[in-house]
Amino acid sequence: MSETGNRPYDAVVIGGGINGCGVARDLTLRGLRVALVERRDLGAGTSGHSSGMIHGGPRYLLREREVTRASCVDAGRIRAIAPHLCFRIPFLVPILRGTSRVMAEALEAYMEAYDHFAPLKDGRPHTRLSADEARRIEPGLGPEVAGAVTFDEWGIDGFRLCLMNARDARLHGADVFTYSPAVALLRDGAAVVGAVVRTREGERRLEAPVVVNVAGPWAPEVAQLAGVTVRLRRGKGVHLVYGRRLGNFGIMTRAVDGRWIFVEPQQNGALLGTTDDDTYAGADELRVSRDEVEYLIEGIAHVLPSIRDHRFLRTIVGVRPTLYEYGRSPDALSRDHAILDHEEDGAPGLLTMVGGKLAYYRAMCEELADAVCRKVGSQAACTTHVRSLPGAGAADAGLIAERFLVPEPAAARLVFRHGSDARQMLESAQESDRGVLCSCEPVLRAEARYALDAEGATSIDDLRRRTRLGEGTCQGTWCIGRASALLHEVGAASVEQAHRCAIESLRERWRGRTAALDQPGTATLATEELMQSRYFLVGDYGRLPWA
Amino acid sequence: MGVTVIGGGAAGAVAALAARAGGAAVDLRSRGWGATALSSGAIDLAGDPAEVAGDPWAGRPCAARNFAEMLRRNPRHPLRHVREAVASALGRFCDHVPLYRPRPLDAPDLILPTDLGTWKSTFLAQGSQTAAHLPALAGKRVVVFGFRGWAGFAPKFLAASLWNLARRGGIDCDLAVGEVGWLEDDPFLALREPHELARTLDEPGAAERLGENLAAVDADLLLLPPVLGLSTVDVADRIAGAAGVPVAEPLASDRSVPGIRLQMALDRALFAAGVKRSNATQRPPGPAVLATGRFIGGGIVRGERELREALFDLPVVVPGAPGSQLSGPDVGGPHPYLSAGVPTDERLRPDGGPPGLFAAGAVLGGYDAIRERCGLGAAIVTGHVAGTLAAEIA
Repeated sequence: MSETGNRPYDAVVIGGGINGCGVARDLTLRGLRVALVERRDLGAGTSGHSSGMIHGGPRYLLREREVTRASCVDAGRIRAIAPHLCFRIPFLVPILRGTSRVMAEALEAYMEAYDHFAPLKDGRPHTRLSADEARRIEPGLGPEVAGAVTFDEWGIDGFRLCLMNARDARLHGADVFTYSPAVALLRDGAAVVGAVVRTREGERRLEAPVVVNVAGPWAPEVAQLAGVTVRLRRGKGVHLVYGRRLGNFGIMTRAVDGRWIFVEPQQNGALLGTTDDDTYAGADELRVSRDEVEYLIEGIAHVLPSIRDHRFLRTIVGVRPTLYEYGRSPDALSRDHAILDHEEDGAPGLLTMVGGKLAYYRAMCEELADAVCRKVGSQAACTTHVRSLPGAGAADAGLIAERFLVPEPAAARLVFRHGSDARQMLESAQESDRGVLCSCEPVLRAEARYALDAEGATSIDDLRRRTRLGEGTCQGTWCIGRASALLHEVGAASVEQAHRCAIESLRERWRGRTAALDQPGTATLATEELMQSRYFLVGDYGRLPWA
Repeated sequence: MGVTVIGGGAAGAVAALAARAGGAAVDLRSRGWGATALSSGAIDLAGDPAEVAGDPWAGRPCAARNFAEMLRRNPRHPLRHVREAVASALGRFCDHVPLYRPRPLDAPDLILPTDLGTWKSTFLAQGSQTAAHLPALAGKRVVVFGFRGWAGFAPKFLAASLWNLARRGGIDCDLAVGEVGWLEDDPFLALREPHELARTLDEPGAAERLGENLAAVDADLLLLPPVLGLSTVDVADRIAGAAGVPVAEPLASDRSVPGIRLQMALDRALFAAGVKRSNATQRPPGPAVLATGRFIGGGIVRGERELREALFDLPVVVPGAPGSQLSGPDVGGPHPYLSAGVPTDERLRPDGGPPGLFAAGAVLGGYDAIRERCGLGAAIVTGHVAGTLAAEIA
């Protein structure tokens, strides 16, 4: 059964990653009527599996100076509109013994060039450190390290950045449909005039003179709905997730093949990444191999040998929707983006944007929104660089902890994730919701309930993206069962759905953990044994009629 | 010469008690609590092999039948060596740990509620848990109670889920939800851990006070949060006495208080039996029982890639693992690493071990305590036999 949306839109945006959420917000703030549709959850694809950096892209300085400049300008703006979501990551680039004086000077000159852009993003200029100085601030550096240079970047929670863009769009009138894949495009002759989406309640026709395809790695499939071919070089990017910070700095160095890789503090833990290899597998069926894991660890161990003493909790894998080009290595491909107007392909009304980086999503979305506005004849100007995202006001974690009798670390992370909304969340929370749902992070019940009530979460996996529930050391051993009860308690799930959500969530966690189970050491096996005992021995989940 | 027992969980404690009963002086070495203290309080002996996914109660078999079937299906199961000792080992265990009342091996399995809102079949459980045996609840009114202001227990979800699953099993009982005040003047109640609440119920008169708060409830059974005492064994009975209604608690998988209660009861039994304790970790001379557990307990460890036994560097078998693959593709298993452990001869002497060494409990390889549902039962029976054999040569 097909139901016509109760109003026509100016634009239908397909894809709820950062580009979709960002362009939906941009267009909505310009006064356009927008529908944002996403096949799964917001940020569930590439955006949620990135390094979580709003970086200036020093890597692109030589080849694509404009990408670096645009990245830095936009990083500064993102930092200004979402100060609570950003955290400074000082990076250290070790200089290895045997590096020629010329090469070391070149690196320094390179960083000096980057310094020109640093003020654009409230970044600090680079410093040059001797071997002793480098070791003093990062004692884990190995004997190969003869010195270092530093620079700094901004880290961010990619999920929440998507979510806050979508939320602001909705606050200003956009309709957001999650778990609603676009299954067809509406045509009027050749023109694309909307999309049919399969929502959980049934099919809906969303009519609009412009359809924006920002489905990331799935962009070719969406374009194909209009018979249009879009080509991508899809790059598989693997990260290892550690349960705690491994040092005070991010460390950037070269892997065995000369590629730049890094380990960085991120949230309560650390990320080590990334690989970049062409992938031809479906974006939903990627697996991480032992080779990829060892490649990353070996690269960091070259300068930080102690990396091998730490166990990683899991792997995450995402797909870069990079612009197609034949005959270059994945690393050498342009990180620039492209807006394709498919009028030339016989599908007027359909725009696709591919490529680009999380770091300057806002600028890309502005450019894309300009293109949409030209199509619909709007003169409205972009305001996303001056209007703050929700929660951008000030909040004091210490005062919140004292006032609501919650642990200070819990209050601090609430402020980081929700900014000025944190206080309101606790003010309206029930007494018992000051309790801890996920002890690794920690996530308070109040935050999870808020995600269910106000942020559109419908499953434990959605809760994880919004709150980081189950992202910590125990990988869901304690919190997944508690969260399934909460889903039922708030009326978001029946008993059957609550159990099914728990099992799906255990499966999702497991997929990222199989590579971690193979690493040296016993701790991961012990954690796993505990998880198996809780859910499959005591809970007997294997026998549930819904398993 | 005395017997040294390494490991103080169920297997080690039972081995130490058996060795004492055999007349030996016993030195029990442990680094701390392990998997026993994390257990639900239920003692599995052998799961129902006819279990079908999707049908929670296909048949209602008994431990004796399950046990024979389990050994038939898994000819490498270490319990095959000790089958004659099952009844006496479990009987001795109940003597030492009065939380448990003995049941005949041919009694139908218990079907008990869990803190995840499911029902679990098992052989033996603590008195406070056995009271919620599902078949006995047919036609009864059960009220699941939470503590006001404490969200460490989910009565609404439990009531709905247990009712739903019971009905699928053909048992109709009325499951309602209630809320009772406990520690309401504690400003940090929302943040309290289960064992902290349990400790408050150990205090003199506390169980009675909670029972009085529940006295007006119209029910055949009250299902309370699984925090009914840490070191006291009769908290549930005392609450029931004051309330005038039987009281039970579900099996616990989340920061399990019944597991800690079991461990503390074992510790008391060891003290009462005159077992000497230390935390020495070197290899013992003379007769000894290795009861160090699997990964949680630390008995099996991994260096670079290979699994090995931690104390004697004994070889470890990982049945069913092709190559070095330790885990299966689905989270639901089976997972070879869960069956990893040391193989033994028919007298529980580990392959490659020094003379006089016996092994018991989860350090033994060849069985999957989770899928075969025999964990604590195997620990108790092998612990009893290993302790007895060690005392014989002491």
